Amino acid sequence: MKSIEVMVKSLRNVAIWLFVYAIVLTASGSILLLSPVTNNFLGMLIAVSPVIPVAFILHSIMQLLQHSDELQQRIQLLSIGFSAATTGLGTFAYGLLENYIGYPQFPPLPSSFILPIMVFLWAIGMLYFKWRYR
Amino acid sequence: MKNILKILRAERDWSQADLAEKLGVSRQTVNAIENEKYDPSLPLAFKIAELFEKKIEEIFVPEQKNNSH
Repeated sequence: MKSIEVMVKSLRNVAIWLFVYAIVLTASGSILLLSPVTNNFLGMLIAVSPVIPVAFILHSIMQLLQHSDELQQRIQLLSIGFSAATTGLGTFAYGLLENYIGYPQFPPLPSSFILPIMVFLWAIGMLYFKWRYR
Repeated sequence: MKNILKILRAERDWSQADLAEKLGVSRQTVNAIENEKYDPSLPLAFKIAELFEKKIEEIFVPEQKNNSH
């Protein structure tokens, strides 16, 4: 399979599993909030279930990297670096703002939001670095 | 790094896609090398040299430093 085909397939898989992640996250949260599970083990399984689609997202990303040529790998490295740096800096800054007592108030950022933010910024970074090397 | 990849490719009447397929890389990679936006790795440079039956230094030339002093 050509690298471009692998890339399209991997990106499609990332999008699909991100969508599944959103559904599982909502479902898991709703179940736990609306009808508290009495069995602790089952409760923990439901709470952690969004990890499954996340594992598939990571698998798709690894496939994408493995089948890419050297320039594509460089673009991916720069994109992931950009995503990690901006997410890290952004959430760190937001975390400091959460301590700010005044107006406006900054509600706590759920840690489950971090992965979608990272994937979004990874895509933005990829578009930018692909443009730079066009 | 300067290179004559575009000239060599044109001499053989290959498209960027043709060359990319022969090298096992994406068309974007060939385009980036030709436009001198990306320097290939040593293994890829050897592959290019082998394909065009030339030495690496006949295809890729380091840019001259501008020593004005």
